Amino acid sequence: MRIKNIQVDIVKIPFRKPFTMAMWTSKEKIHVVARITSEDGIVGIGESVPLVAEFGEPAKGIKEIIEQYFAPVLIGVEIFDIEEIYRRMNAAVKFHWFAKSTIDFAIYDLMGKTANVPLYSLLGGLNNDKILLNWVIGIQEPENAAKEAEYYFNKGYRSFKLKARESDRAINTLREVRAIVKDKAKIRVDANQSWSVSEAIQTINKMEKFEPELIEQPVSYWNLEGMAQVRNATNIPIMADEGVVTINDAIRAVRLGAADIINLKIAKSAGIFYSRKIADIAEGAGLECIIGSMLEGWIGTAASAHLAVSCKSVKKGCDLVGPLLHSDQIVKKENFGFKYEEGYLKLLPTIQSGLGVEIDPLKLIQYQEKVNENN
Amino acid sequence: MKITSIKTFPVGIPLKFNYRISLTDIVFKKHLVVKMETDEGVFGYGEVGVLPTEIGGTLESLASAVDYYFLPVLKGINPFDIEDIHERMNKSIYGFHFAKAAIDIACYDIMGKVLNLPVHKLIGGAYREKVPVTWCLGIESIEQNVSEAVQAVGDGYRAIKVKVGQDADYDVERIKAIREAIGSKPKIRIDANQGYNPKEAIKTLKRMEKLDIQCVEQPVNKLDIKGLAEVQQGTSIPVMTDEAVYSYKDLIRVIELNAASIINIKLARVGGIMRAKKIAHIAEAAGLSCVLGCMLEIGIGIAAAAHVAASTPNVDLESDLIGHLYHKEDVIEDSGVKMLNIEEGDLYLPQEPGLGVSVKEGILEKYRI
Repeated sequence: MRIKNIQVDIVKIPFRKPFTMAMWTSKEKIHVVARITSEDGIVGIGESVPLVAEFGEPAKGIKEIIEQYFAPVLIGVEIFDIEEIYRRMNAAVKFHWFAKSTIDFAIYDLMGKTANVPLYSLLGGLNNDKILLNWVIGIQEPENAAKEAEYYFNKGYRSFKLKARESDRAINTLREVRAIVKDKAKIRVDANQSWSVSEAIQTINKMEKFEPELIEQPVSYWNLEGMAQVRNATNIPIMADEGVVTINDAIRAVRLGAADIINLKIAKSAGIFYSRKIADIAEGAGLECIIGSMLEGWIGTAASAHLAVSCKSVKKGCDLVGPLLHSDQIVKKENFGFKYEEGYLKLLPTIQSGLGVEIDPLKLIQYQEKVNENN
Repeated sequence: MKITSIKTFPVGIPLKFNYRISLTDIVFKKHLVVKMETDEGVFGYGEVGVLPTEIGGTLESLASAVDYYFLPVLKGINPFDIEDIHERMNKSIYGFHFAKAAIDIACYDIMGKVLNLPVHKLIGGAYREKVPVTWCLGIESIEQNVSEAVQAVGDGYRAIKVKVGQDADYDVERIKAIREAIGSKPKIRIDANQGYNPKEAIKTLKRMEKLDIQCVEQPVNKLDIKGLAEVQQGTSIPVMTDEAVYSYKDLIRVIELNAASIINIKLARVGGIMRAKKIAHIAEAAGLSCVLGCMLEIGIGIAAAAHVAASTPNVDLESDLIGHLYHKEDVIEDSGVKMLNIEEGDLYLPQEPGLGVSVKEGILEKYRI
């Protein structure tokens, strides 16, 4: 069961409507899609969706890293030797977690398909067959955010994530959305590193009366000490996102008391491989996790979902709504392993082995970015 | 797939000789073996060596925990749902890690057999093909320790572990004599099994520093993490935890207090393969090495530990996996293939599906208590 071939494609799929968060507004999403074929002829699929402003790694860079640096050292390696696979990738290229995660999902998909079991069976087993979802509301005028919240509340969502940047607008948005959902839904605020320590403390204390479930990444990613300060000076649970990328970051966060919860994003943290190790650290230290999202398509979302259903530390809403924001998908609609229903992502009992999703070759071609064409 | 039954085999197997450690003498070893059966005909085995002085729990209480508490909550559960299995056991009884470990190991044996993969492929892959192991010397006369050490080095062992902790002066004398006899190349590790207090440990270790000691294992009382940190800071010899790390939170505390550089993971103590891997991951993130230890298990338990050691990058020092050699008879088939053999100081990893060992049930019955 050795790796025989790795193929990388880039696709671009428009959002249904433009999406705004702290660092960018975008009307489309670029996906890097990897297909790894084993000597048995089985194909595993992986993807990453670059977020260059937050994490670097543009799509063409990921493709180059995989083709020029990873493929030469991974061809011929056993698919189940995941520690060895990572040793080789880490020896070839420093950092570049998105590139590594693209390979990671495809390897885990291959493992599941080769073993003929759904991926969650290889990750500790099934704890829950449905994942509570957060509807993610982008930065916009509070009234519009409230309308969006109402719309999705009526569709069954009971957990909301408000993207935030300016403090006043964030407080107002929280107030408006809380007025809509009252005590029937959870609302969390994600500042994506927007605030200084003092601004964070003041803002969170002002938000307290609207009972946010938690505040995500209030301060800069590198400032774990500052985040601990914020945590000590406020009464709302604090979640680390950009601040905890590697397993070493997780240990530092534990040492410093910087967070109550860790947002595990399998792309940011280089795959299911490292995310599980971070989940182990969180479990050991008594912290919770949630599974976050880079607004991936179905491939990345499926990978995240398998982790979410097999991880005991996941107790609150997860952000796995990427596919709902995209106007189309490159995976086949039939034989699907998942279903969005009433604010949950549900695992279907008919889920196939591995990730449980298959690429639609026609859609792949339709949305493919011809990398060599001039724009 | 569902678990249909879990049979317990409490066994006692005589050792080849008396084994003295700082806590006690051991002449006759008790083991809890479990056989887990499923509705698809696949079955798996788990095993731990039982040492009541180490962890609360006797062979009788561990076996009855499995029979009366764990089996009722695990019947009908899928062995692949290993996280759920541990949660069910934890909700049923607090502690009893030895019994939980035996069940956990049996689950992994089944998972591997179902998927036609050796256990190490399920938990990280073959990061290493063979596991370097230590030869262990008990607290004996200097002559005995020296001759055994020389023999072990001649057999290819690259690391010798010496039990210490009953008498500091005698310990220093023995280590000096061993080092002189085996030369500078083989590694010497000392294991005090909590035998010293922190100040005594630092003083004794300072006397040994020029003897080139690889590390000192559990120098002080397992509850004294601060004392362990004192020793770690008070000497250049790296500190290894053993009895101190029973649960995840113990390891977190060791990390927060910078109390050790190396964690000795024993599947029986931590509660099985699943838990051992999590401990290894936490240690890895904090920059700590790990080794696999044993409670003098026989082939089933040693195989389980070998799979963990082979699949975990930060198990980068020699492990203490020679327990099966100490027994007069083992319960696993000698298949003739290099499997759990130790050659030139390396333990060979089983490659067949599951744990990769075949259990002779006749032997289990022969030694049943």
